[in-house]
Amino acid sequence: MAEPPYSNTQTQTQTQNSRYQLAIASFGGDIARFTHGYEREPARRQELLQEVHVALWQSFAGFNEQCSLRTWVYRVAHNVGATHVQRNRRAVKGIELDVDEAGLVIDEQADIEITERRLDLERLLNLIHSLDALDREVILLYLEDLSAAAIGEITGLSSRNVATKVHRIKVLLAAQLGSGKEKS
Amino acid sequence: MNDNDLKNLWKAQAVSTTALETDELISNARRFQRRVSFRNLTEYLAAVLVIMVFIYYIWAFPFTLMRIGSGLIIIGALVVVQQMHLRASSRPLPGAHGSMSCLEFYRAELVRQRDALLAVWLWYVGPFVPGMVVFRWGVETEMDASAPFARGVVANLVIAAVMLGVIGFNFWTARRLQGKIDRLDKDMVEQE
Repeated sequence: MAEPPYSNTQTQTQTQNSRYQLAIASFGGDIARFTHGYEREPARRQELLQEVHVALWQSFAGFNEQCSLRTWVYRVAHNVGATHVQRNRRAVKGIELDVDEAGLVIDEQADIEITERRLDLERLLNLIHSLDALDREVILLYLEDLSAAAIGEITGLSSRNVATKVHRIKVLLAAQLGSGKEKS
Repeated sequence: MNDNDLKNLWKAQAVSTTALETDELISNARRFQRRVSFRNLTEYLAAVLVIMVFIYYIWAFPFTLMRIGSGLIIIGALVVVQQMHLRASSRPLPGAHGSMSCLEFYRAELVRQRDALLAVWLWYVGPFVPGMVVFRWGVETEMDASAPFARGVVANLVIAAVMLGVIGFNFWTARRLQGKIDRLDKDMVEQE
């Protein structure tokens, strides 16, 4: 008996769904963290995360294992993130946190160590948000603990170029974190 | 703060790892598509406004040259709308996001935007020029032929300055984008 004509489409959709589920189970946390590097405002970040999920799910219709699942997922996430930044160009917030704001946080938390970590994270995010698209992708992948070779595969840069960029951004970051601590 | 501290700081962020249900994905995809359509629609609104104003002019002014000019401006606005539609649909689909490295994707986007800006004189300003020339000719010779010559010259110069300003600003922005493309290309050459 001949199969119904839609069975092939159904199988493709099932494969698309199962690949999406697998991708989120494996890299869902990484994707969510990436969105922090592309949008500061929580509501808009949530919207961006949903946009990445949808793009990922749609992209799996064309995924034929031409690269690893991780490379594919990260590329989709970063390319959607870069498009989001281009679409919503706004002034980058200053690198330094307001002293009063920092004081309030300390009062509320009453825990200097946690507060310092939050301030460090704020400074890290400020730096990330001031970077060009490609530098931003490189540092976000570096923070996810990927090797220079893996970052190169995702971004299209050579390992040597990735290492140079990471070094340059880390110097910048050390200066920002250092100066932030001196002032606080 | 060393490398591990940095990475731990980054990874310690509380994040959601929940996958969306297929129904949610489909409804979100539709919602995002509607948003893109709405964004495009707002870009077309200016053209619709121009068309409505010049349809009114055709009806309100009994002068031949002004009516021909208004008709040409309406045709120009339609050409601009068609070009906007073509250029909006040349954007990469989400399915293409995974098959291109970030470098390729970013460069392709910059090139697409640069080319659109460089061609603004042709597809955004150019279509209005014939209509504007005929319309202004009608204003000067048919509607108010007794008006001082200098007034007409000043009005024409202001219109020309606005058009040249739009072209110049877009060329300037395209040059900035070209600078970014050159830096990417330099990165690619250095790594070969």
